[in-house]
Amino acid sequence: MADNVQQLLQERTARFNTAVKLGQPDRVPFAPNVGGMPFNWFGVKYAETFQDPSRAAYAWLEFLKAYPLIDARAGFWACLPFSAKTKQLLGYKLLNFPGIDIEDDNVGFQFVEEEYMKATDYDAFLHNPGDFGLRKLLPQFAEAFKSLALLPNLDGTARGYGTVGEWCIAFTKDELWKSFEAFREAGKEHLKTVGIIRKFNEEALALGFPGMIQGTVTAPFDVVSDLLRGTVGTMKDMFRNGDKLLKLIDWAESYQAGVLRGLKANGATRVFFPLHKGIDPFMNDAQFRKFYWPSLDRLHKLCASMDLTCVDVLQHAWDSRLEIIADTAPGHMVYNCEQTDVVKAKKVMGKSACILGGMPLSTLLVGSPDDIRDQVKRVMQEAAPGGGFIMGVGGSIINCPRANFDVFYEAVEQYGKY
Amino acid sequence: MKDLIDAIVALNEDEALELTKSYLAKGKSGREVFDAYQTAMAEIGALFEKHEYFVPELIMSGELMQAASDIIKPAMAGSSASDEKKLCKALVVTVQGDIHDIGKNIAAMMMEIAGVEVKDIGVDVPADKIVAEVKAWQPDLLGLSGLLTLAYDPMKDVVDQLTKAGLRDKVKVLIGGGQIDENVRKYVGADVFATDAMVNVTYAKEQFGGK
Repeated sequence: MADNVQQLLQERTARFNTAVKLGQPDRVPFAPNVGGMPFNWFGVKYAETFQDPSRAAYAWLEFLKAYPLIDARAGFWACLPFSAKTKQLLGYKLLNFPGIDIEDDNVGFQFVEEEYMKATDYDAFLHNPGDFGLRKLLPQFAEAFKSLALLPNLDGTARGYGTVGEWCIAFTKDELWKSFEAFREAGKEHLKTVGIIRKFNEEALALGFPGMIQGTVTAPFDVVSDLLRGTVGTMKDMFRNGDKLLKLIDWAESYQAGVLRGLKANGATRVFFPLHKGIDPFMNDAQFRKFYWPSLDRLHKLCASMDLTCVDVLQHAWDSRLEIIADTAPGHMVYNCEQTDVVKAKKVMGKSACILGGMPLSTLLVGSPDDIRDQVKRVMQEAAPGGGFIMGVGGSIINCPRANFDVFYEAVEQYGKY
Repeated sequence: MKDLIDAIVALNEDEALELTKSYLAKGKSGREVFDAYQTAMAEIGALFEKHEYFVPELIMSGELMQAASDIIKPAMAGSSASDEKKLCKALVVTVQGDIHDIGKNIAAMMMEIAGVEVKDIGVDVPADKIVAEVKAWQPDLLGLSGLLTLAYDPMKDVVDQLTKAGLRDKVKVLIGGGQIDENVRKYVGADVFATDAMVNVTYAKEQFGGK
C-alpha cells in the first residue's frame, strides 16, 4: 500500500507540475477548489466545523476517498481559519461565522470589511507601520486586542532609560493582563485546530492526495483594499491620495515578500494569491498598471527566482488584463479563472502561464446535466490540447448538489484524456 | 454651465465645487445648478457603459454629488430634488447568508442619482422579511444582491415567497452580484440580472421611464 500511495502522490504531483511547466501530462490534471462542498454530503454543517474542526477533516477525507481522479487538494484551507471557540475567546470581529454572526448555520465564514485605517492616517501608518498596527489596527479587530491601544508608542523604545518607566507603568493596567490571558487561552485553543489541520494533511497524504498550495500571499494592493482602507476607501484614494497609496502598497509588497521568503524557507513549492480588487470593473487599465500590477508582478518574479509556483485566483472577470499579466513569471504561474473564459485565457496567456478552471460555478450549481457535460467537453477540446491546462472550477465551492458534481466528475474522466 | 459639467465629468472635485459656488453666487438657481449635475451624471453613466469609466469613477461621482448637494440644498428651498417625481421605487437588500454590501450600495447610489426612490434594508436579510417589506412598501423594483454563490437559493426563496403571497406580478425582481449570470437568473426566477451598477439604472428607465 505504501508503495502504491507513494506512486499515487508522485503521479499526481508530476501531472500537476507538468501542466505548470506548460507541458502535456498523461491526462488533463483535475484540481477543483471544492472549499467546504464536502461538508453537507457527509452530514456536516458549516457551523459544526467551527465548533469541532475535526468534523471538517472527516468530511474532506471521505470526499477524497470517493473521488480519486483529483490530483491536488484545493480549498480545505479556505474553510477553517480558526475555531468558533478561538473567535469567542478573542471577540474577533474581522470574520463572521455561520450560526454565530450569520443566522444561516450552513454557509462559510465571511470577511467584515471596514475602513480600519482612515484616509487621514497615511502619515501615521507610513511613519511606523508596526506601531500603527499594534496600537491602532489590532484594537479594532478583536475585543481582546482593545487594550493594546494602552501600550506606549513603539517609537519610544529607542529612547533610553525613560522607556523603563513608560513601559513598566503601562503594564500596571489590568486590561492588558486580561488581554494577554485571552491571547494565551485563544492560542491554546488555536493550537488544537492547527493540530487537526496538520493531522488532516498527513491523512490526506497517506491516501495519496498532495495539497495544491502550502501558503497564501496577498497582493499588495489587496492588503490595503481588503484590510486597511476598504474597497471604497482605496478607490477614493486612487484619486485623492495616489502618492501615499503607492507608498503604502510598497510597504505591503516588502511585507509580503518576507512572507514569501518564509514560506520558501519552510519548504513550500506553491503559493496561493487570491486576487480580489484588480478585477475588470474595479479599475481602468491605467489604474491597474499604476496601482495594482507592478508590486504583484515583482512578487511573482521573486517567486520565480526562488522556484516557487504562484497559483493566482483571478476572481470575477479579468478579461481586459490578460495581455498585461501573461508574461509575469513564465513556467511559474497558474492562473485560476473564475468568470474569465479559460479558452480565451489559454489563447492569450498559454505560452507563459498554466490555466486552471473551466467550470463556472453557476453552471455547476444550477446548470442542467447537459450544460455541465457540454461545458467540460468544450473546454477539453479548446483549452486542454497541448497541455498547460488544469481542469478546475471558477471559484471556491460553498455548497453544491452531489449529483451535479458527479456529472462534472464523470465528464472530466470521459473527456479529459490526451 | 458647460465648464461645470465638464469638471464634474472629469471628476475634478475642487474645480467642480468652486464652480458650483461661483454659479450660485452669480445668481444661478439651485435648480439650474442641480440640473447641470444631473446632466454630468448621465454622461458619467454613459462613459461607464462604454467601459471608459469603472466603479472608482462611479464612487467619486457619488462623492462629488454628495458634496455638491450640501452646497446646493440651501439654494433649493421649495424645489428640492426630493420633491421631484421619482422614476420608481426600488427596494434593495443583500439576501440571507451573505453580508457583502459594496455592490448593493453602489447600485443603490446610481439608482438614487438617476431619480429612483431607494430603500435599503441591509444585509443577511431573511426572505420572509423581504417579502413583508415588499408588501408594506410596495416597490416597483426589488434588487436582490449577493456576492457569493450561497445567495442563489435565498434569492430563489424570495421569488418563490413573492409568488405564494400573490406579489410576484407587482414587482420586477433584479438580481446582482459577483457570481450571477443568465443561468442563475433562470434558476431564481428573476426578471433581469446585473453584474454592474448601470444595468439597474437602464432597466429602471426602460421599465418605468414612461410612467
